[in-house]
Amino acid sequence: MAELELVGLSKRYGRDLVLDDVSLSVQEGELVTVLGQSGSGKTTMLRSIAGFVTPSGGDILVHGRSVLNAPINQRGIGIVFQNYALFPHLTVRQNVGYGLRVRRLPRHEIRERVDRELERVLLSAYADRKPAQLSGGQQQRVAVARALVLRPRIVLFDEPFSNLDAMLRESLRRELRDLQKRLRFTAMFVTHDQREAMALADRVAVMRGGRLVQMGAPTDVYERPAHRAIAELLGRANLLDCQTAAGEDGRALLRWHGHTLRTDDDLGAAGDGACVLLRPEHVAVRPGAPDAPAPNQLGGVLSSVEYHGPSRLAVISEPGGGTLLADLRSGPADPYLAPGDPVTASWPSAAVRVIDA
Amino acid sequence: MTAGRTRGGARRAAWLPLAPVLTLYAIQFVVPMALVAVTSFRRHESAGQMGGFTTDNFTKILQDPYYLGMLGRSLLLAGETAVLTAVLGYPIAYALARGPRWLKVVLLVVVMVPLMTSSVVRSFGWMVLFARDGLFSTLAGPLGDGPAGLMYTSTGVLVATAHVLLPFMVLTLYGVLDRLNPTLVHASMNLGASRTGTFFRITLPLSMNGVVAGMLLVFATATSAFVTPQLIGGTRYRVAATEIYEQSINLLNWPLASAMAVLLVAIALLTMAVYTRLSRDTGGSGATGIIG
Repeated sequence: MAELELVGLSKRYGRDLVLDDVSLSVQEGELVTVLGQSGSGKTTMLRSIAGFVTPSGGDILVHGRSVLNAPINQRGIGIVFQNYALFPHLTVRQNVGYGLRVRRLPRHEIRERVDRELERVLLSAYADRKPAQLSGGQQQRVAVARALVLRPRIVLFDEPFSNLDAMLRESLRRELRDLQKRLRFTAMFVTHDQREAMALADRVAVMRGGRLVQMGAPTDVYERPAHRAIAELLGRANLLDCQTAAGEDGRALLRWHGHTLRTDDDLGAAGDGACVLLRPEHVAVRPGAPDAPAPNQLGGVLSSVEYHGPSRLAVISEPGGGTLLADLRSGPADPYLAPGDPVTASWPSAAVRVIDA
Repeated sequence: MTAGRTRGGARRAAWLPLAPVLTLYAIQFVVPMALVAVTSFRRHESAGQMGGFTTDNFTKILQDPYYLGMLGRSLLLAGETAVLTAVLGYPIAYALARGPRWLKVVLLVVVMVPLMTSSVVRSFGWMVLFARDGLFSTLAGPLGDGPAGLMYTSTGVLVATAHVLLPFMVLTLYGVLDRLNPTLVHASMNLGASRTGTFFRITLPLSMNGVVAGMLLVFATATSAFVTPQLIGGTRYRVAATEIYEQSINLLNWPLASAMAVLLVAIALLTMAVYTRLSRDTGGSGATGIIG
């Protein structure tokens, strides 16, 4: 049975439908990230689960039981807030022990559990400080410890890393992943950062305009986006509007600005046109014009190169007016490519993904 | 040297716009206060006549139970007013900070209107209610034995003074409560606390500096309240401010009146010093902006 299940969850503010018939389930011990831009309804969804927002329709089930009528303080669902929401007048120890104190546990037990939790998040040395005396990353850890000390079965994370710098985010992300696997709690993690969403998740739920538009393993969502907007949300994408044509061997072909694309995908359902996703990292680039026209290859001119360190992002203009992005892995002896150079781009047919326009 | 002079010049320039108001303060406040302070050390010869310097006025006030009681009554009234406005003002400020918009508008009007009305008018309003055959005693009549007029009583003065000073308390508290992060309430409840528990564990402690600031502000203002005690307390309920008026205007004992005034101002200044200290220690509170 699913640990957490949303059934047709909706929320309406006046005339705005912020959450539109969202159904999903999270398995025990699973970490689901919810990816969406601001206004996609992801935070409203999280707040509904925690009980801060009363949904307009649908149901929220925990272990098959509706929690809609349970007040906030009896849902037993932990939450880590975006701005941590630490109590500024309490010390780190008092913050972490807050939930235990509210439950009137014996003093020594509170102390023991708080100490253990602080050790787990490497903050024992800071137990008697106030939150204002901690760095952002430390505050974030206190917020996690405060939620986890109560051993909730489900923990919600509302963009907890969004105020931290990139390097710290990455290490905290790994720590969190580790902690979640070790303590085996079920987690829902809301973020607008697609790298974070994919790196953390067992499954990613993609939200758009209040609706759940796709849910699946990170590779599935990245490689097989259900919609062009999802393809763009998850990373750089070449989205090519192609015409379909009959090939000589009977297999369907795709035509884009006079170039021929072959795909391993089934074109059966596609009509006259199809939208093709070609990820930039699947495009290979070599200097010079092509020797002869061939499928899955085009000649063009390099219009710009952005150096990113591990990779370079090349923008190629082809004579028909189309542009193609290529993400080139940096090597120790890369050929020098300068804007204006003629280049040949090519890609394997497996990289050509037909998606619903 | 040049740099130092330029910086000094810039500092002078920054002070310049303050010059008019500082001059005004000097003429209106510092000079009269200095005169009052000097007068408080003069000997009272007869009505309107002053002799050489002496400390008799202060010893008289601090030794005569009549005057001491007067001061004590003033301080008691101020303390009670501070407590009463805090108790009444907190829920109002809370609703202002957290309530729906229509409630904010209603409350803001209700709280602010007294500020815009003359205190004489307000006091007359209370007099109508408090009078022996006024609304209150008429309503209370059937319940108790006989009409319970609040005119010329400490309770009457307290209620009317609290009404006058409530806006200061509400605005001070509102400033603090409005800046309180509402997510903290959600966080507390998520961790298992009830609404009441959250209020006492989180909201109240975090707004305590506002409560203290508001009470000090009200206290300092109430010690020098004049119109309300004069009209509602009359001659039967005398406080320091009304006694000063009596001494200076009717009895023409200016030195004694001045000495009492000096004592009152000293108490007010002391209160404000404590307040400033507190708000600095707590990193400033919402009242700082209001008091200026």
